[in-house]
Parts: sequence; structure tokens; C-alpha cells
Amino acid sequence: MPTVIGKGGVLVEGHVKAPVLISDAGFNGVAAWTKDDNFKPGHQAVCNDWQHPWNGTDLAGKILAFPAEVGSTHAPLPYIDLCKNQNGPAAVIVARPDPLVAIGIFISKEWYGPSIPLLQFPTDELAMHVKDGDVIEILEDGTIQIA
Amino acid sequence: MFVSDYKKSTIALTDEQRDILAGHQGEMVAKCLQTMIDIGETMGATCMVPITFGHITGTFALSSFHGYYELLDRLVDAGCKVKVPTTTNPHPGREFSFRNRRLYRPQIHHEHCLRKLGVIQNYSCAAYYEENMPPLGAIGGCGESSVVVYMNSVFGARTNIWGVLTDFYQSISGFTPEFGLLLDENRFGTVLFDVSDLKDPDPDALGLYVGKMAVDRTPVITHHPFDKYELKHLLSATNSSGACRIVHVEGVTPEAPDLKTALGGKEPVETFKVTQADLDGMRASREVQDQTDVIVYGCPQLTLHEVLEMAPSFIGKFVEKRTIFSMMPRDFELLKRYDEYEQLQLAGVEFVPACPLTYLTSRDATLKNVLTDSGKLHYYLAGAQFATLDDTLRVAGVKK
Repeated sequence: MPTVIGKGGVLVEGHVKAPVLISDAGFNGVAAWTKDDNFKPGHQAVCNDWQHPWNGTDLAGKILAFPAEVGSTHAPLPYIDLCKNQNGPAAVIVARPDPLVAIGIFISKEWYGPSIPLLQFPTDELAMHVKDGDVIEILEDGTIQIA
Repeated sequence: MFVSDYKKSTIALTDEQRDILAGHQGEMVAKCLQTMIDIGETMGATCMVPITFGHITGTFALSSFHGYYELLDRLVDAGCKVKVPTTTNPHPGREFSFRNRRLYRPQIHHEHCLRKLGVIQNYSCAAYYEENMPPLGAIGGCGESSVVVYMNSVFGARTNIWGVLTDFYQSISGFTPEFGLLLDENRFGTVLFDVSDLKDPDPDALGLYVGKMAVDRTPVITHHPFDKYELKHLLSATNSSGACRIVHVEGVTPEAPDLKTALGGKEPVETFKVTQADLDGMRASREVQDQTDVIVYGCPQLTLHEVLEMAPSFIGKFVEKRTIFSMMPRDFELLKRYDEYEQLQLAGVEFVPACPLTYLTSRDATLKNVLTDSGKLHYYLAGAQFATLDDTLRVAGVKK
């Protein structure tokens, strides 16, 4: 039986199993994903935010957990493409959801089709059970479990 | 086991909204409204309310992204138009360099789209000084975080923060979901910043500090007679470092006639006594400042008033470092009527009526080290160091 960590609030449903990355710093999708380096093939999801601990990390295929999306209203711009093209994060777990983190995922889902799970769940609670790189599974109903 | 208490809400629709969803104004307008309803329900909204103003954030056409621009084309092809006065963010500075002409290659087409959608062609992030000045309590749907915080704080208008496309969806459908900063209870301050010991606080440094300490909470700053230009700097910096979408200044902003009102009658959850050392801590060291390649002013964009105030420092001298003024396009045109325009050019100042964050995002090595008095540009642009206005004038070689 998988170990259940908890049950997140479901903003966008989905089922995924992937390695998790947890940060206690707010995530700025624009600062991370709109730099020169992101325009190279295969680098679209590399975090290039010099102020974020994930700087230099490829976030493709990872479940990202952070407290809140911070900063720019251009955040949906990379989220839309990364969700639509399915070359970005596998899911997003955010402690304090706001429109900036939801819009890109919602628009990809409603206007293009592909989407990723978006859950509300406290970052510190998640960090009590798993560490970076651990594979976790998100179920349609928001259940988060160690895979 | 932790179980989130988060739940989606259900939005109750009016007859007018049902008609829109039924396609009475076209399939695309229906889809715009439906998307806003769906997002609204994830944010806890229970109704959609009419808006009277908007501001578009996505005025830059980055050649490496496609999703946003394809959807905008769909709106144009369907003949959609904004229903409420809607201003636009700056040009990205496509003409600034060869790199930018490549990076922003679709810009010309993008601006055709914006025109066809019926937005006001102001191309400025400081739109609140010109065409977009909503009255107290007006409800809008704005993109661009520095516009959002100014609208909420200085005008007492009400807008949540919206990203690309949703700004259009609201202006085209005419409705926004009611949640967050549209509701009285979410507009009160919770964290107090006592600035009474500061003599003449640098608004950007104070904004960076307040945002850093407030992080997502609503700050209340004790009285200091900031003018509307200083508020632009203070608020955009606070929003950048702290995601604060509304900031109250006692006796200055309309929802803060006094501290008790600004705090909703409650005690602050935390109080900070701000010192000059706190603000000095925001500045780059002198060694770092002296490595500057280019000095950039105007994020948010400079007004005519601000340029004329800075001009005496430059006139009759020549800058020792490349120096760029990023101006609101309208005010740049007005500046050309003043003697200072030619005098500033003689001093070596360049004018770029675009967004410095975008025209400097991709830049060559000769522009690597940026020095700015803008807290916002410092926060967003990699390699942009923060300094006070006096620091920047010293590095420019126009003030000892």
C-alpha cells in the first residue's frame, strides 16, 4: 500500500507520478522561464531565476511544490506553452493559490486540451514527508502519496 | 494526515451572463466568460460583477512563445472587441537592438492584433497618469502588477491581479469574478511599517524592504507625504519583492485616512520600525556600483515631470556611463517641446519609450551590468543592481 501524505485541494484535476521538488521560496514563472537560455531547444523548462534556489534546474517532468506564485502577470505565458506542449512541470502544488499560477494551466486545458494537476497543499507539510527527488503520486481526487 | 479545506465555489449567473454563455454575443465571447467563471470558481467567487476599466499586460510578442499569441489571433478573427476602456502595457523595445528585432519578431503583427481588439494604444505601464484613472470603488480587470497595486492603493479602485489573456477575457466579456481584493474584508492592512524615523526615504528602497518583510500580506505604512510619482516607485517595488497588490499609506491613500481604518480596526499582526540602515541594506555596494555598464531609469516608465526634475543634474555635462531614460511614449513626445530634450541628448542621455525589462532581457556583454534606481527592475532583470537616485547620478559622473 502506498503511504498517503495527505489530500490537497484540487484546482485542476489529474493523475501523475513524478519526482517532487519542494521550495519554501515563492516561484516566479517569468523570471524562471523567459531567459535567453530557455529559448534553446530542450531548455524551455530550465529555471533561470538567479534569485531562486532552483536556478539552473530543469523543472520538466517534476512536481513543483512552492508557497505561492510571485511577481509578473506574464506568468501564464510560459505556463500555457509548457502545459500545451507537455514539456514543463508534471504538476504544481501550491500553498496559496492565486490567479497567476492557475491561469496558464487553465487556459491550456480549456483552449488547447493538455493540462497538469494543480493542487493546494502546504509546502511545509509536504516537506515533512518527502524530500527533493522522491517520487510521489497525485490522484484525481487530490490525494498525494509516496509512490 | 493533512486534508486541505480548499473547495471550489459555484458562481451564480445573471440572465445577461447566461445569454452571453449561450452565444448571444458570439462563441468567443462566451468562451472568454466561461474561462473567467471557471477560474473564478477556483478562487472562491460566487458571482461575476461588471467591470468599468481594464489594462492589458501582454503587449510583448516573444518569438519563442506561441500559445498566448495564437489565442489572441482567434479573438481577433472572431471580431472580438473590448467593452470597457482598456489601456496597454509598454512596447518591448524591438528597435533597441538586433537581438530584440529577432526576439520580438512577431511584435508588428501583435500590435495590429491589439489595435483590432480595440484597446487604447497608450503603451505605458504608468497608464494611471493618463487615460486610466478609475474613481474610488470602481471595479476593473487589470494585468500588470504595478498597475494593479497603483489602482488598488492610490485610486481605491478594485482589481485582482490578472495575467495574460484573462485581462482580455474580462474586457471582452465585461465581467470579473468577485473575490480577493474586490471584497472589503480583504483590503485591510495587516502589517505595520513605522517610517517615522526616516527623514527622506528613498521610495524604491522602502518598497523593496516593505515587500520583503510583508510577503503576501497587506502593508500599512505610517504617514509620509509621498507624491504620486514617489508612490509609483514605492508601490511597484513593494509589489515586486512582496507580491503586495494593495499598500496603504496613512493619510495619503484613500482607504487609510488613519491607521485604525487602514487596519480594519484590528491590531497589526506584526510591526516593523524601519531604519535608514534597513533601506541602505537594499543598495548594491559601492564596488558593485562602480562596475556598471549602463544606468537605466524608468521602471515603471518615466513621466515628463520626472525627466524635467532629473534634467538639471545632467545638463551641461556628459555622462561617463551609458545612460537610458525609459519614458512613457506620450510624455516622450511632450518632452520634445522642451529645451531639456536637446540638452539631455547633448549630455549623452538616450531615450527609449519602451519597457527596460524587455529591451534588456536579451543583451550583449557591453550592457551586462545594469545599475538602476528602480526596485522593480532590480528585482526582475538579471544583472540589474539597485542604487538610490543619488548613487546612480554619481556613477553617471554627473553628481559628486
